[in-house]
Amino acid sequence: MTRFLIQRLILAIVVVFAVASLTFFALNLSGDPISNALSSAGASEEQIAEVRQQLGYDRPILVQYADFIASAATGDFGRSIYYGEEALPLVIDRLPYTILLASVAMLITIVVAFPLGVAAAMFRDRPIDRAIVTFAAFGQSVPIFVVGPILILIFSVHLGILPVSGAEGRGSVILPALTLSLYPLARITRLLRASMLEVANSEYVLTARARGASEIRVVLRYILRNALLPVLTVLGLQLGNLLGGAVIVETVFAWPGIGSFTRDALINSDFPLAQTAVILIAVAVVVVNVLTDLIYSLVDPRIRLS
Amino acid sequence: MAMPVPTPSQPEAPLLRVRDLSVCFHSNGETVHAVNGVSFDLQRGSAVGIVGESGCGKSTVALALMQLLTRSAEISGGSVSLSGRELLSLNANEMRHVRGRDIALVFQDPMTALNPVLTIGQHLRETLSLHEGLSGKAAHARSVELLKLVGIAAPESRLAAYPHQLSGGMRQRVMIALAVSGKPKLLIADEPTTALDVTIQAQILQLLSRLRDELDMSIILVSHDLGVVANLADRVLVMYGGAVVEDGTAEQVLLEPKHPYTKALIAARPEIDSDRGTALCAIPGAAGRLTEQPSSCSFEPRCAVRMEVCSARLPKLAWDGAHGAACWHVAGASGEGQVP
Ligand SMILES: Nc1ncnc2c1ncn2[C@@H]1O[C@H](COP(=O)(O)OP(=O)(O)O)[C@@H](O)[C@H]1O
Ligand code: SF4
Ligand SMILES: [Mg+2]
Repeated sequence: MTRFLIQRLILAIVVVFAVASLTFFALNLSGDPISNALSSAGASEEQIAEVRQQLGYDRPILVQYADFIASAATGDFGRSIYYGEEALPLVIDRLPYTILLASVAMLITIVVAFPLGVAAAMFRDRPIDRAIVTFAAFGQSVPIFVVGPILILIFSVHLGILPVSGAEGRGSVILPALTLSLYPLARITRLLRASMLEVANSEYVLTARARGASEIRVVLRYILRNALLPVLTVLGLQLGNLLGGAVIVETVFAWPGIGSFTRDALINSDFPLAQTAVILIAVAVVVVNVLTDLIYSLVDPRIRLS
Repeated sequence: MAMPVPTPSQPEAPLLRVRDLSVCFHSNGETVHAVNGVSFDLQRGSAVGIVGESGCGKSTVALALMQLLTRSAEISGGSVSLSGRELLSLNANEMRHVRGRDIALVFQDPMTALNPVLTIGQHLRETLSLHEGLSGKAAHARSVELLKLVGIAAPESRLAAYPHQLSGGMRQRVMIALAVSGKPKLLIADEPTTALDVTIQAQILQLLSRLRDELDMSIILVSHDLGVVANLADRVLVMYGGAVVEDGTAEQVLLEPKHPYTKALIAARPEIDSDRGTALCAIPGAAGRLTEQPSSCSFEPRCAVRMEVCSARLPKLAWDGAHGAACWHVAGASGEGQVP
């Protein structure tokens, strides 16, 4: 167990380092943040050169990289060019919104996908199953920028029961979370259905029935418990996606989470801010993955962490 | 069809009476007649062996008795009565109460027969609460007792183990403990030793034999291996192509076989002491697929002593006392179909 955690910690550091490096080069090789920002603001060549020197952007790229990594390792992620403040606290301010959005979306996913997946498997090939499978196929293929506006039209414009956007109004998290949950919800429904149908063919399910176990017991204790194992892994991956991949939803709903914040930082060529946000997301995803592995090992006695 | 009921010498009503049991599978618009008119009796406390090559319908018979066949299967006819109670007309709930309590089942592969996320103790407590209404200390004590009964050493410490932590032989013992936990009158063991090492095989057969006596249970032992069946069974049914082709006491079937298929099985069996397996490969040819109900002897394509009548008419079991065989060579044979 301790060995597992140490291994995962090392892996986490490697992953975060790789993400940080990749982000750094992808951004800095795409151009110079100062010229981008200031020339659009109408600054002169000399002014730009002066600011570049002040902020260290005139140094060779590898020197900048070494400096960035060294500082980041000590928790110093630099200053936002746009806000002129330290980048890390700015990003951390947005974290609760992203975590709230991802958690609610995950909750909706679980609460809806589990019953749907179980029902589809239990009523295999019957109308209920067909309806659920069709809905899931739809949910997996409709893009977010289509679903979001439709939900806004229905719930905000027509029914007027939920705010159109932002994070202030009561229940404001519901529409973005609903939109965000559609894909994982559909995916988990299909996966759980397939997994249950597979487990249902296991010999231990047949032997449970042969011992006279009731159908409900067979479904819950024998089929579902085992069918959940592969689902758990994918749930962990999906939660990671929700934490990091909410850019479109946060933009559509003007949700002040890390996703829309990162997008704004990129538009403003605010490289330090964007880098900090991406690194934080990477850390969150790694943490979620470790937690998933831990939970998996608790649920499946055959897995021993090492 | 009124079938002349074979009534072996015992006057007492049999524990299990199977008549004309037929099962077909429907898949991809095709029907496979896997079991065709199987009939036999099983006396209280005795053991019957069902032998035959893989695919001849043994497991289908076993599962049909429990009504645990897959969705694509249909019991297309016949009767199964246990202590005089017709099982095929029970509803799902009534049948569920028969399972584990009146009839129990042990399967071939102990590796996959236990729920991987439950401990041995959880498995046992579940059936004990189901069939005996036991819980808490009483269930624990009975669990230990059951594991002891099936010859598991240090039973207390095994309760917390998960299936993957036990050997194959140990798991099969656990399966047997679970099977007998509801004090069934009948235990069906479908190839219970096929997946195990030879030495473990013998131990498991001994265990079944001991439990039969100690618990006064009847046993149906299904195996592709005549030797395994000979070990335990009082009566032996030989199946081919979904039908019983020979039925007699173990001595009759093994020592004075009447049906050419039984004779071939015995001839093909390797000498005792040699390794198990490969026994039946020595009969040339393979059984055909039963997409139609047979109207002639199914063994005919592979039979060394076939005659003209064999491909035209289906032979029925002809009885000589308690020993029957379905072959046109057997004296008194009768059957169905056009006389050629
Ligand atoms: N689930 C199934 N679907 C279709 N056909 C099946 C199925 N199970 C068994 N059968 C058919 O029934 C026949 C008998 O199978 P089985 O009872 O398993 O034989 P045995 O146990 O003697 O090896 C097989 O030849 C196969 O064609
Ligand atoms: S009936 Fe004919 S073909 Fe069938 S086993 Fe007897 S002799 Fe052989
Ligand atoms: Mg079989």
